[in-house]
Formats: sequence, C-alpha cells, structure tokens
Amino acid sequence: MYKKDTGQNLLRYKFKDFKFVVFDYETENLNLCCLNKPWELGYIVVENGKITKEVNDRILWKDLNISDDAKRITKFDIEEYKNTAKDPKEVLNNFERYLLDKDFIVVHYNGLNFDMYIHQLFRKKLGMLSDYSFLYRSIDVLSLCRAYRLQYQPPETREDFFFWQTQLALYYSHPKLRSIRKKQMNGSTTLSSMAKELDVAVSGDAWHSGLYDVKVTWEVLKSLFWKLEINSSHIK
Amino acid sequence: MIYLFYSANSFNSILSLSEKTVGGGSNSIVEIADEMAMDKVFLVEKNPSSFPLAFKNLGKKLVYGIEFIVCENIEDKTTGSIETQHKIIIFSTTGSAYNDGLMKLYSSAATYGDYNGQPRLDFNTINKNWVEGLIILIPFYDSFLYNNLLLGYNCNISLSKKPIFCIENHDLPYDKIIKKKVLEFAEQNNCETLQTHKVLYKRKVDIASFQTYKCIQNKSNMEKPNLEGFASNSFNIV
Repeated sequence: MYKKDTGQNLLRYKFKDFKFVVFDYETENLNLCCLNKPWELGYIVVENGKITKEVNDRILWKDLNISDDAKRITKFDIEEYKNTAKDPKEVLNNFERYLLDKDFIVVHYNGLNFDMYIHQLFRKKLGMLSDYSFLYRSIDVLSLCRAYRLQYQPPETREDFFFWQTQLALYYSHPKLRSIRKKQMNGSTTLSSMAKELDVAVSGDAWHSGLYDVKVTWEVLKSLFWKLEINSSHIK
Repeated sequence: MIYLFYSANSFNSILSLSEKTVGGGSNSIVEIADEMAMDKVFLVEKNPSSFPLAFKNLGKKLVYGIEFIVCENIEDKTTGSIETQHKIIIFSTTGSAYNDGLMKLYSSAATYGDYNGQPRLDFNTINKNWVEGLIILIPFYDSFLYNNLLLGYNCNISLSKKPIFCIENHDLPYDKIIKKKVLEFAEQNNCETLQTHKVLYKRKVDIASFQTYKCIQNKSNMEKPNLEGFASNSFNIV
C-alpha cells in the first residue's frame, strides 16, 4: 500500500544533500552487444544542488565506424572529432571516479535500456570485465517521465522503486502490448518532448550532443521531483 | 552444471541437430556433445518437431524438453492475459513420459491454448495431463519471478509438481538480483535449484552470426537490432 510521504524526506527539498552524476553516451549505432562502441561521453557532476563539473569527452578510436543514422542524428563532424578526441582509458577512468563511487546517484535518460550496456561495451573494448554495480543507485529519468504520464506514484521501498523503474523502462517490451500501452502513454516521452512539456529550459539546442542532453536530463529530473513523490529512501 | 541446448529447429539458436557440422554452417549439437563427452544432452525446443531427428542422432543421450508459455487460464484470450505469461520447461525423462505426457501437453497448448498462433498452457492443464517421468524446470530468464519483478506482470505458479529452479550467469545487469530472488523463493518453498547454462551458439565469436540470425527473424539490422536486453555473448559452450 502506497503511503504518502510526510514531506521532509522528499527529494524536491532534499536533493541538495545528495551527489549526482548525470551521463549520456553517443554511439556508433544502437547495438547493445557487439560491433558498437561509444564515441562521445557527456556528464555533469552535481553537488549541493549545483553543477560542479561539466564534461563532454570524445573518445578516440582508430576503428571508429559510425552508422549513417548516428552521424545524421548527432551531427557528427569527423574533423572536430579528430581534433578533440581523447585516449579512451583516460576518459573511462575520469568518468568511473564518479560512476563507481557509492556516494553518487547515477542519473540517465533511458540508461536502463541503453547507456548501461554501452558502458560495458566501453569497458570490454578496453579489456575490462563488466561492472553493473551502479545499477541499483540509478535513476532512469525516462522511467520517471513515463510514470508522470501514466500518473503513477513511486512505491515505498528502495527495492520496489528499483524494480518499478525497470518495469517502466521495459514498458514496451512485449510487442503485443506495445500499441495498447502507447495509447495509454498519450504521446511521446523523448527527452525533447518531455523538456517541452515540463517547460524545462537549457540554453542552446544541441540535441544529441552528450553534454546538452545531460543538462536537459538533470533539469527534467528536478522538475519531476515536484511532480512525483520521490524521497531520499528511494535512492539511499 | 547442466547445459541447456536450444536448436535452430525452434528458431531459437544457430545450432543444428545434424550428425555433423557441414562446412562453415551451423554447429552440430551432436558433434559438440561428442567433443565434450557428454552422457546426456538436454535439448529444449519450442515445439516437438525436432524430436525424430534429435532422437535419431543423439539416441539415449537425449533428454527432450519443451519450453512452454504458461498463463493463468488458457481460456482467457484477452490481451490482458499476456501479463500473466511466463515460461517453464517440461522435460520428459522416459519414452512414455514423452508420448503420454509431453505430447498431450503440447497438443493441448497448440489447440485449446492457442493464442494468436502462440501455444500456451496453464497449470490446470498441466496437472490434468501430468504423468510420471515429467520434470518442470523454471528457466532463469522469462520465468514468473523474472516477469513479475522486471516487467511488472502478475504471474502465478503451481508448486505441486516440485519444479526445479535454474540459476544462470550471463553477465547481464539483472543476473545477480534475479539470482538472489530465485534462491530466496526456492528456499522459502523448499524447491531445488540447479546451475544451468543456456546454449545458443558454440563459441563466443559466434555471437555476431547469432545476432544476424535474430535480426533476419526480426526484420531489423545489426546497427539497430531492436533486441531489448540482448547484451551478452556468453550463451556459448566452448
């Protein structure tokens, strides 16, 4: 049975007490298993409610092979890439200082279906084993957007909150339920449409650039703190 | 550790049931079993069409099973019934269990249980057609626990036939969480668990061929395969 939070633990008031890392990968294509790797990683670090670090790293691969679709969507520029891309190991190590730090809440948009797998492809490409340890302290903002649309409120416990997010992330997984569920969702839940719906403003309009998307994701999440009763026990 | 082989006969894998691997084609389960000196080969299919070939080439090594979709009530043909669906595997350990049990169950699933071309069973039908020599295995993925936790379904299970719960590890994000839940459930309900390994292709490098095969079935491509959660290359055997 869902119990209404009395208020003092709601993240809308408490989020400044927590540290967040918000991230997004741009990739060669949409394969989760093989023949794919990330070429851009954008993330922000949020402490005391403020963005303390902004990173937009391009990842240098000699065998980069971006699909035509990905090039078009991300406005990929090969010259810019060559001039700015960094050593993959350096990019990964810097990022994992936050991602694998248990004090950080990991935030993403559709990360439960995409970015967490891409992170493992990145690690495997560098000869490392996969590490999903950050999964349990993740917030997938896409799941929260779907909950907002469906007028769901989060369940009480941290474990239930975790599975609830997963269920919303996998909401369209059964092909025969997809069309019914799309009707229930009543419109698109892409990052750009949710930003518009929630009246979230971030300067610029560089959609599908890693850093721009994470800034919007963070603003959407802050807005959702006021729409959904997410409290500190959901994430700690 | 029990290897659960899935064959291409059910469009599940890229493994064949031919006597030998031909050229650069599908690897033969029969050959793999010989190479690995296996006494038993646990074969899991979606329908019984491969049984004659499997029995011809594997003989007494064969332990034949069918992976069924189970729902709450096979008479319920509404879309909502999908949210009660989960998978179980029923193995026949004797010839009579295959003829009198597994075949009857598959016939019921494919006729009375048919839902848009998808054979389905329910536990009522399973209990009515149960014979000695059948064993129920609860697969690690797409089980009632998996679907309830990760998809928010409302699946139920009958424990009257003492199902055995599979435990697997394919380095997928939810493996540890699901394993914990399976072990808890099995302990609470006095059920056995078994370390299993689903086999869909021979070597790790075969993942690209397997994914290509899935993309062809799915009418997608390798750049956008639309295969949710398809992120492990460890459904191999060597």
